[in-house]
Amino acid sequence: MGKNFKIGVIMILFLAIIVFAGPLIAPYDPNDVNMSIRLQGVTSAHIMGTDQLGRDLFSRLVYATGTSVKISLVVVIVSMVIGFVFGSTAAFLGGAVDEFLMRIIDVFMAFPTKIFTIAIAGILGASAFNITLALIITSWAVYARMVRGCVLTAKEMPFIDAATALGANRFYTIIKHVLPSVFQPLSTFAFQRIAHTMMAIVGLSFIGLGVQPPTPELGAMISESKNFMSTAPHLFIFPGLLISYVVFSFNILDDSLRDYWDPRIKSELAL
Amino acid sequence: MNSKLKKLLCFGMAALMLVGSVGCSNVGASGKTNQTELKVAYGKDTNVISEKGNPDMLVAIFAGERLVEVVNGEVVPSIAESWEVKNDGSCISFKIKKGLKFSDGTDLTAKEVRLIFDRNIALKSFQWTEMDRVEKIEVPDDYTINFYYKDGMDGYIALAGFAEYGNTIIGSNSFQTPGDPTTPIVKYTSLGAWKISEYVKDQYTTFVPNENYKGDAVKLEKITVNTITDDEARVLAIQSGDVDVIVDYYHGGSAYTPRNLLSTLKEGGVQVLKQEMPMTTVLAFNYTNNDNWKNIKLRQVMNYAINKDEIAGLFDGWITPANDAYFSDCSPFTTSLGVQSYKYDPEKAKQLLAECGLTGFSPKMLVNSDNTDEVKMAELLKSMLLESGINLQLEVMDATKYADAKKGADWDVTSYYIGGPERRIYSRNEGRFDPSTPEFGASGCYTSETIVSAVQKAVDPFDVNERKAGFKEFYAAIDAEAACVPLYYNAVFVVAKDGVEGIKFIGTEPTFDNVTYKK
Repeated sequence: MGKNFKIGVIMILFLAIIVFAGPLIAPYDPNDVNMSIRLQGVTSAHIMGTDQLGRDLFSRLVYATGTSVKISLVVVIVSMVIGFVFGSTAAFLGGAVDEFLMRIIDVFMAFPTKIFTIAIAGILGASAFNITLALIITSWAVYARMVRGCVLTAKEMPFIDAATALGANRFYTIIKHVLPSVFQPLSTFAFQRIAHTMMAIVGLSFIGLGVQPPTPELGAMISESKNFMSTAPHLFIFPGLLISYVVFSFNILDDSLRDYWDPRIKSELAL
Repeated sequence: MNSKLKKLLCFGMAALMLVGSVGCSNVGASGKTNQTELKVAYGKDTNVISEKGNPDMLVAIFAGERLVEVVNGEVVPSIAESWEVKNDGSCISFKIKKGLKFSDGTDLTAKEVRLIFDRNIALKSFQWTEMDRVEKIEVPDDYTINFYYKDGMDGYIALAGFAEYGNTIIGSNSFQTPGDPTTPIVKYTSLGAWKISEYVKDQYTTFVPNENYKGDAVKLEKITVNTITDDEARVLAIQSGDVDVIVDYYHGGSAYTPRNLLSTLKEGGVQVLKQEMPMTTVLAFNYTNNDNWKNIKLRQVMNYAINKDEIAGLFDGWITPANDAYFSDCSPFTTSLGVQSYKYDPEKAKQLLAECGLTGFSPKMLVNSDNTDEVKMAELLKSMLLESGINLQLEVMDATKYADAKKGADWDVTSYYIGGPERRIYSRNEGRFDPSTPEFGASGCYTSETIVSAVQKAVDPFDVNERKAGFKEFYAAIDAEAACVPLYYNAVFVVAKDGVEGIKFIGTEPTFDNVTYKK
């Protein structure tokens, strides 16, 4: 593993601490209103300042990161599972089932993803559950197509023929030989999708289709801050930096994982 | 990287920054403005071509005149030079000024005057026009028009209703079939200082001086009202110099410059002009859906639990907290009546809530996400109410969903407004508190027989002293019954670029007749 991987892991670990130990880190309740200190800049009591309602920005950022990352993880994991079930079923069974499932996937992939997500979230209404559902609906098909491709490739590999010739049954072959070969590209893809999903959540929240206020969320916080760019720039600088940090963390880890697992790159590195 | 390349990069970045900064010119520095034209940003379409209703209030103010106006709570002449209340109030007879002409040159006569009233009655445009009260209209001669009222439907409110925007007099050539007021309005001809020269739906309306206007000539050659529905887009338009002025949709409630942006705008060199109006933003209860609201103690809890000073603080003090009474000083008779309201007392709220047996009560509040002020205020209200043991559940949704949801039953509280522009103060008060009125609908506040009786005593009598006594009773009744929670007294704001001079308020409405640019 290279330097980038280590940096990525450290960054993700740091992020995980923020996400899962948020209540221990945040010095204040994120919804604790104090109008006497509204729109304060950076102070020793409030290290990232306060917002329009005098709420501690650092505490809100800690909780907001948790909200966004947790939704991203749920979306990615559920989409991956659905995609895996659809894609692997289509690839293994083939024939009419494959045709049928692929046409369903085609339908979902035919829509422009962002517009489709906005439409679904708009119809369902703004809430954490609805935004998660909207993103899953528009995400799973990509995983399904990828899994199907990987399984079809793996099925044609000589080691599968060898396993079959040695008497391995179909279930054993799938579990022991096919799935591991799908796992690597799928996990790399999933890492890549976490950052992508995170940006989608931030975007949806920015236009008011995310979580309900006063629950803190990064996109919503940036949206609220846009009216105070000249008077209270800390309101958008800190959430903006945090979004960059989160996306960069997942991207750097995704890159290093891809480098590690890609045999061509690995051999180039070895040279 | 060699030094030449570094220099080249630095030069490139500097050039980019310079180009970028050109696009960020200050509001007042724009050289694009034609100094004989005023560009206005407005949050609504002016609805000049109107199938079944009437054009927007901005059109009615710029280009229209009415029989009467309401000033300081009293009806004063306008197109009518005088009026007479006959038969114990069941007939109001107006004498119309002679020698007036519509913007298309048509002479003003009583026959022309009656067209808008015939239209409102035929098309059932009863909201705020009070035309549902009218039994029949007669035109005995060219300059007299008589209105006869149904039994029990007469009163001062009916007279004040002639000042309503929807009762703006328009000429017979305004209608698709000239002289037939039931056909769509296709060409707005009226009596005001301005006339409409061009209208493109949902985009802009252009006003030019009405050469047939008998009053003082306007100073500008043209006013273009641009429809910009998004609040923040209007602010960006004035900051970028694309418009000279932003005008609030001044009947209240929607499409106004966000109050939380006014300070930022002022700091950026923009003029912020404010005019108090007799309108109060309140928290209204859906008592028809949730029986808990019928408990007066719960309504009092809400009144004690909310700190109105903090709400004013949220809007940088641009609005006045509703600490003294349900209505501001500019509402009829408020100052002289010395009406008081509930004072912030969270402990008392907590105690009353416990007495109701409703600790942990979780009412649902509908919030319009398009209104950024309302969203922030709702978050603040949630925090305040939590201190008194009420867990307000916010349901934030876009304007369309909000309007649909509000018509349904699945909500408990919402922010709304009582009172209104001065000309509408009588009809708005009745419409918010008397369920028998056409305006009540889903927008009524908590009411009772006592409140209905009191509001009638406030708006019906022709005698000013009787009305004053009625208002005293009405204000006391809504306070005693905690009919809603008055949050803040509203105001009309006009935001104008530095250098625009002469904007004045007549009553609660802005006028641009004397606008000039500072040289």
